[in-house]
Amino acid sequence: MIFLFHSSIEKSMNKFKYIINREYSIRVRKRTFWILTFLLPVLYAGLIGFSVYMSMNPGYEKQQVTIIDYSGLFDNYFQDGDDIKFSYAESGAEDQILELMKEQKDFHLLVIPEFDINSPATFKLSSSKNSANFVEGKLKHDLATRIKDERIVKLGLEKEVIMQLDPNISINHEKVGPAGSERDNTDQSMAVSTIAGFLIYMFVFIYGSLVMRGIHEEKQNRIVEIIVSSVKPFELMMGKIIGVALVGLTQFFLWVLLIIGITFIGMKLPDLGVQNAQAGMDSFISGIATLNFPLILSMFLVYFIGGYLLYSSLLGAIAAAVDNQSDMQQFMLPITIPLIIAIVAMQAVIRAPHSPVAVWMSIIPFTSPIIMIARIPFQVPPYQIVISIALLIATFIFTVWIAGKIYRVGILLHGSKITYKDLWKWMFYK
Amino acid sequence: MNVLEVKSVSKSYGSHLVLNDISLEIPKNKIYGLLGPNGAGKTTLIRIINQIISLDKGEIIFNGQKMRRDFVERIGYLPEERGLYAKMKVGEHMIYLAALKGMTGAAAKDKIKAYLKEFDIYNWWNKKVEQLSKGMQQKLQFIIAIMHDPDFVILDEPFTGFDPVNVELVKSKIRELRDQGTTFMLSTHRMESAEELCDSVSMIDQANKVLDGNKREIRENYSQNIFELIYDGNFSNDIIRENQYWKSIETNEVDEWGKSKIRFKLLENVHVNDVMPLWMEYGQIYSVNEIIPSMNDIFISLVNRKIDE
Repeated sequence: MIFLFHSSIEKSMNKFKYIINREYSIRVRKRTFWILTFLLPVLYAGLIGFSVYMSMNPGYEKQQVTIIDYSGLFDNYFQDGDDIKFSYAESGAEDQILELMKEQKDFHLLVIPEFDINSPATFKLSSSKNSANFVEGKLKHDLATRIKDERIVKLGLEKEVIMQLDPNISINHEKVGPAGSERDNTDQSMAVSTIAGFLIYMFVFIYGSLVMRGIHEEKQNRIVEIIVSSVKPFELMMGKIIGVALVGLTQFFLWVLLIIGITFIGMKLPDLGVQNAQAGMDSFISGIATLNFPLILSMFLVYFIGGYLLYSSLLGAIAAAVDNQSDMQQFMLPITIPLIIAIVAMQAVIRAPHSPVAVWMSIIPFTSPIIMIARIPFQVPPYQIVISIALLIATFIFTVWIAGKIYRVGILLHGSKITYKDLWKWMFYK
Repeated sequence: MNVLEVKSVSKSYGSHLVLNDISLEIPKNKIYGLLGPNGAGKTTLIRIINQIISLDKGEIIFNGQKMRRDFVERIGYLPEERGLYAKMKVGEHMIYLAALKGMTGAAAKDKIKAYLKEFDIYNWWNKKVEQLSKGMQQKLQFIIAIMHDPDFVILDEPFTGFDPVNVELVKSKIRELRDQGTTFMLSTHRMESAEELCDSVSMIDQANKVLDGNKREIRENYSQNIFELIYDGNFSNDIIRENQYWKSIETNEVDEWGKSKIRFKLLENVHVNDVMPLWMEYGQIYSVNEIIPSMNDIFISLVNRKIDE
């Protein structure tokens, strides 16, 4: 008898494993899982590749600018650059040049009239179609510099004196905390926050609805009664929730691995001569390196799992209770509202991560998975994290328990329209 | 020896009483019919036996022991509402469900394969369930209920939706397994299907048990000494009114062959032999049959209404 009892616990655990295994493997074997898993890193690689390409290839030819100068101020003044080449033309050649330009690409004509340097002058720039837009800005800057120099001379000032008036400002911004001062990494924190918050939102939504669809399918095709004659309804529900969570974690780890791999390959690219793009990236990446990644990653996992358990159990309960898809939408809305509020509030929270609203939303369990993960890169006091996680755990235990109650009754019920009152009653069925 | 005993089981949902003090004894090696109209509480009772839902009062005894969760492995179940995972392959689907019933390993696989061969679905092992015809899916569902060699198999409305060929296939398999020692419980609102297959029956109506016992005994108990006579000839009205042997004449009509068909309800102490000579005087007798009430008739006489009302 005692032996029998022990073996029955063991058997029950085994069955639970079979359920998790099925829920996991049917999803991981699907083509859509792999498409999504590879698509994101491919998009990431594409983005990096595109920005590298853009930095190597500006997308336009060298711009030819012809100057006709009636003022005489700009003789040999304009300097050729990487993407611009200047030439001078005789006075009165405008019409001839304009006629030639019609057939040309990336060709510009700047006509500088005679003018008084003390009063504003209007210059005329003609460009052939399909030429680059930066030329006007560059010319404006060059013209202004020359005119400024001329005015300085006219006023009898020393150019060096004027130069000394231009302050050269650089701010060394640091954050002071209990651990001492350190380099500011606000930009990097904001980027990581946005990505992490959005990923949690996406994960909770995607995998929560996978649980919901799975339960709905089992109820609709009536397999569920055969299953619950072998295992407890709660075991079936939890098996599905855990199986789908493992799918999510698998996907997450694959993403992390692939993205690290792609970044590593990307780092090798300077050999191809992309120092330009690299310079900006390097300072950004070295800023990212100052973030506390082990903390961010472990918190990400905690809040993903917590938020997922909370929402997927509620969504699962709805799927078990209702009969058709349209009723499901109606019950889903109030559940997903806090998630949507959180993702909308996230931008404001990232701008002021220690405002009272941000603190409260990161503690309330229905919004904390998104809001707290968005705050984490900005050094949240540990006590707030502890409270937030404790509340999240308590809440998901509660929602899983409620979901189990509703699931057990709802899953076998067909044909009647369900109200909130019904759901409330089911929680108290023996 | 009883495989299953239901002892004074009651169950209600909120204020709605679904089962009221139901007691049943299901003897080993028998096909037991659980009869009653839709909504009588049959499926609820089955779910209680299967430990899917809990009971409010009473207890279930299985093989002499109080029912426990792990005993459901010894039970096979074909629910009334049944389906399969459409996207799973036939083979892995069966292996999965067998594992949930505690049946694993190579032996399980061999057993499943043997059953699929017997029911002519083995060639579909690697096909998805959704590619199977409805009839084949029904066969799979039946195999699911019996593949783990359960002591006790519960079939809830087993023949609804089954095509006639499969009905016969399943019926003969049920009898075969019964003869090998399996006990069946067949729940249905279609009394005639129980009539043919069951050894014992009970009837449930509106949460209450109204009758149970051995099928033959029940029908004999409820027989009303009615005989149907088919003959060629004419009884004079005097004879018809004669009530020395019978209480009443139930029907008197001409059948499709032009023969007279007349039902006599004999007096309680009259045997059909006593009345035969009288009938023979008036014409040529083709047949005499006792009209034994069907389960349907018995149910109607018990609850005083028709089954589908």
